[in-house]
Amino acid sequence: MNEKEILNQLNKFQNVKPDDAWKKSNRDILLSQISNSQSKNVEFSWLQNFRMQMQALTNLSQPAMAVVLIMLFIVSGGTFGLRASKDTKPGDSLYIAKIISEKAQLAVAFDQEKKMKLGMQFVGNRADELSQVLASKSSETMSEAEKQEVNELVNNLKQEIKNVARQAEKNQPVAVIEEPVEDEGMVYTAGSGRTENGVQVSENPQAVASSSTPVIETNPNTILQQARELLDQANYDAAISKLEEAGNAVNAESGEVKGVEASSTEEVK
Amino acid sequence: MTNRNLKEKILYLRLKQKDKEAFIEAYDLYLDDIYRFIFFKVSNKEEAEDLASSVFLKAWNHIQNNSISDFKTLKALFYKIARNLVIDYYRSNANKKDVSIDGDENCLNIPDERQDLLAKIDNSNDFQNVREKMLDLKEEYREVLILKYVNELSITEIANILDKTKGNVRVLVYRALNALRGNVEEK
Repeated sequence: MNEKEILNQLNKFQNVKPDDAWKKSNRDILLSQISNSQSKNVEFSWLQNFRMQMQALTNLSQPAMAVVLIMLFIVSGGTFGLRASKDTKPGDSLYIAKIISEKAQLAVAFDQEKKMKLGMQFVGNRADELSQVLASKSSETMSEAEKQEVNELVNNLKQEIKNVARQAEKNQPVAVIEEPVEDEGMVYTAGSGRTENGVQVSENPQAVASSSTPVIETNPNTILQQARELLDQANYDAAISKLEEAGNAVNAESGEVKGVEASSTEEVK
Repeated sequence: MTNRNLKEKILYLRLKQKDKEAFIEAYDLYLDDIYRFIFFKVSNKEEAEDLASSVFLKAWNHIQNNSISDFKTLKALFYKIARNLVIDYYRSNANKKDVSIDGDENCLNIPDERQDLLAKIDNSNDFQNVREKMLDLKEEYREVLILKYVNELSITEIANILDKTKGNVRVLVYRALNALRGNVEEK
């Protein structure tokens, strides 16, 4: 007899089974026995229940648990890394992370207005970096390499401004049709005038606009243009303050645009 | 993790909740295997029935009072309890001699009507031969052969039940099979 035959014979042992009658009667006996034992035990507390479920969870899905933990680690690591990279300047090890995160934010912003805002924010970031680098060294003590670095930064800043300006140009025609960004003060007052007095357009819109918005130059594009010129003249401090102004203008603008939207929807009603 | 393992886990949790229907399910699921396992150890129908019955009672009590972490699976728990009960049984009956009321015609005579008469005799001879030689084997060898080839457990499951490493179990199965073949060929 070879091994296969022996195994075949062994398989036949599977036919060894208890009597069906015994099986049935024994089942009933056991059932009555466990029913008796049951009354002795106290009720299951929720704590025990919870512990047991947790245990089952850990028993069931250790690989899944590991995957979740790894994911958590990666995500939290990324988040903390980005947070840490927020105040970096060129030359720091996490600076690249900051740039990448900015690019990513821009890529996932689909709203044109949001893109514009982000762009302004990033211009602000570049300006901050520039001011940080400039604050740490005076131009006399700067080495060649450092000068190079500052130059690069300025170029970066210019590039960023160009991007934003392009974005703004793209934005403009749309904005004029849907929500006139440029003359928002005017439209706003015109709208409110309409609701209050039933007058179609106020007599002297420009005057109302200038009285409602104290900042004389509210168009971010023009401010950006000015900032670029200042940068070309290497007047960094002035350029940075100009940029801040532009950032404020964009923020204020979006707020007022919302106001316009509100009033225009009112009108429609 | 296989579907079967998951089912076992759920069954365990239901048992833990004192679900009597789960107990019935476990009984129907494991009784045949446990009974067979015990039967080949005690070679006596009545004792095997008694022991199998107490395995389930003990398992029920064990599950209520302990956590599953002592063993890997529900199945392993049943087998372990069965093993311990058999050991206890041998210990307490060391000086007693049992005679089966079935005599020689116990349930190991298995008719297979699908084969013709000649083959049946030959087959039956082979079978009786293997059966006898099985009983001559060392307890340890017989146990792994039953677990592996009759109850068809995996090496991992056997390792859990016997508290051995997988490699250890593999070696044991190999040696047991060799020993059985040697015994059978000796004839």
